[in-house]
Amino acid sequence: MRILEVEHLSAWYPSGRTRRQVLEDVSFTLDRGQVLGLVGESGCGKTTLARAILGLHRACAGVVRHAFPRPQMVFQDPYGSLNPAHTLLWTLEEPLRAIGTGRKERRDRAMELLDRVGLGPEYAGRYPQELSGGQRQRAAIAAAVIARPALVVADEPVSALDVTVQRQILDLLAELKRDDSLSYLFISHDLNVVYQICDRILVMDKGRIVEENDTDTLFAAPKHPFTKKLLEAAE
Amino acid sequence: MGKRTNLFLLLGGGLTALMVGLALLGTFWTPYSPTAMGAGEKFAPPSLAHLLGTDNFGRDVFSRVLQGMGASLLIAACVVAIGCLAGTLVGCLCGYFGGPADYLLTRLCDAVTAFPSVLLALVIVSLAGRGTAQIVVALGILFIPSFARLVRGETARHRQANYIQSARLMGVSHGRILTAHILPNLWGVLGPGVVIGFNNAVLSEASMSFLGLGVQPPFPSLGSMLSDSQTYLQRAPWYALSAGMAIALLILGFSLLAEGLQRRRRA
Ligand SMILES: Nc1ncnc2c1ncn2[C@@H]1O[C@H](COP(=O)(O)OP(=O)(O)OP(=O)(O)O)[C@@H](O)[C@H]1O
Ligand SMILES: [Mg+2]
Repeated sequence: MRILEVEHLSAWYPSGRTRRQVLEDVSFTLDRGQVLGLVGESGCGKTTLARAILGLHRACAGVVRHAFPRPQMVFQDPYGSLNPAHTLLWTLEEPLRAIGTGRKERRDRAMELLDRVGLGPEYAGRYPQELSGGQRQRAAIAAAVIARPALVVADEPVSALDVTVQRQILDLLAELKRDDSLSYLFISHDLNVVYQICDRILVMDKGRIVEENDTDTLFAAPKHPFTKKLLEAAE
Repeated sequence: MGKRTNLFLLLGGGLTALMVGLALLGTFWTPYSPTAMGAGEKFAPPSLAHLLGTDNFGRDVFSRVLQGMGASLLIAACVVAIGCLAGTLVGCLCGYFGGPADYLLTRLCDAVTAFPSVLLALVIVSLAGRGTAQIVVALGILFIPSFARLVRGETARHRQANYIQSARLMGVSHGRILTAHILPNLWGVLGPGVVIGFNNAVLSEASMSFLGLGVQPPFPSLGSMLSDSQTYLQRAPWYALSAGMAIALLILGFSLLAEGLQRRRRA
């Protein structure tokens, strides 16, 4: 089943009196329960694509169709993604409040999620300022998945973290996907990470999708010269 | 970033607490009736019976200062309340929604702040008449722009933050985002803002009363006392000094407290 369809998506940023195009005619689809990787060099437009898909980037044209409401995003920068005025418990309960979940269930689910992302119950009353970058990223992931969305767009969720924490978070994402039939659009510039978690991969260069294939095929037999270049650089 | 003691916060908080305490005391109890003429001799110098001496009507200056501080602070509190509530409302809406209304209101705030506030208050009072209520409303309106600008900037900054974008994705309504997600982040700037507001309000009220436009006789206000005492500067310097010192100490307390709060925020 299709969970996301993107057709002929273009996006711009204002630049002086004109505008600069950063996405050019991007089209792809994502099936339920799949992890779709998006790789490309820094500045090629990955974050812009993620934001455009979720309606957070207004200056765009094209069609984006979501099969389920309330897709969520895990932001690239873990520092700005949690509200500094609230405790983790409040932040985790908020998505459930928004869909009208009862008090007791909200609390139980928040505590369960805290536990699953490896932050014990003692973190419930903590503020984001009291957490490390990795802990914040885990809390942000917990907040993104707590209301059981069908799609999570994860923008470099592990890039800011060291290798052991990376491993934990990738395992967590894989586990959440299995248990809750989540789908991800997983953005990264790290091919090793993408190889571990993605079913299919989109390769992006300067705002265009230059190659799309399932993970094994793409790694075994890259077609586009840019993909070959990326793979060589990663070795 | 060690936990160094915040001297500004300590001194400012202490001084402010002391002055507010005295003012509170003055609203319930004063050694003599502040308006009773002939509580002592005319122009009696400070003594144990009259700590700060007496004025031209033989009224006890200490009692008048106590009640005058109460009046000044009460007026300041009303002024700041009007300015802060209305300013926060305007600032939140402008900073969050933006658009042409934001543009117009921001320009209007700039225009209001461009004039000296006492001058504008004079205009308002000359239209609405003199009196305590008029002063409160006039100053209150004039205090709106500074709060609006402060809150607008902070709100616009938070609106861009990823946690607000996340809240939108979760389907949280605009109203709830403003009240439950953004407002709790504003206390940090509103705290020092309110204290600075008190500082300015006490000064503005004193200036207005000094010009005879604020609290009307026989009720004491620090500004009107300072004005009355000018005539007797030679014969009873303690009269002017007491009123002046009360204003100065209030202002000093608020300034130190505001600085202390800002330092704590930055730490
Ligand atoms: N707010 C902005 N205003 C103007 N230009 C921007 C803005 N954000 C990004 N850009 C430009 O748009 C292009 C794409 O940026 P984007 O953030 O989507 O890249 P990215 O692929 O996510 O990079 P990275 O891997 O470093 O996160 C870049 O050239 C960038 O300079
Ligand atoms: Mg990016």
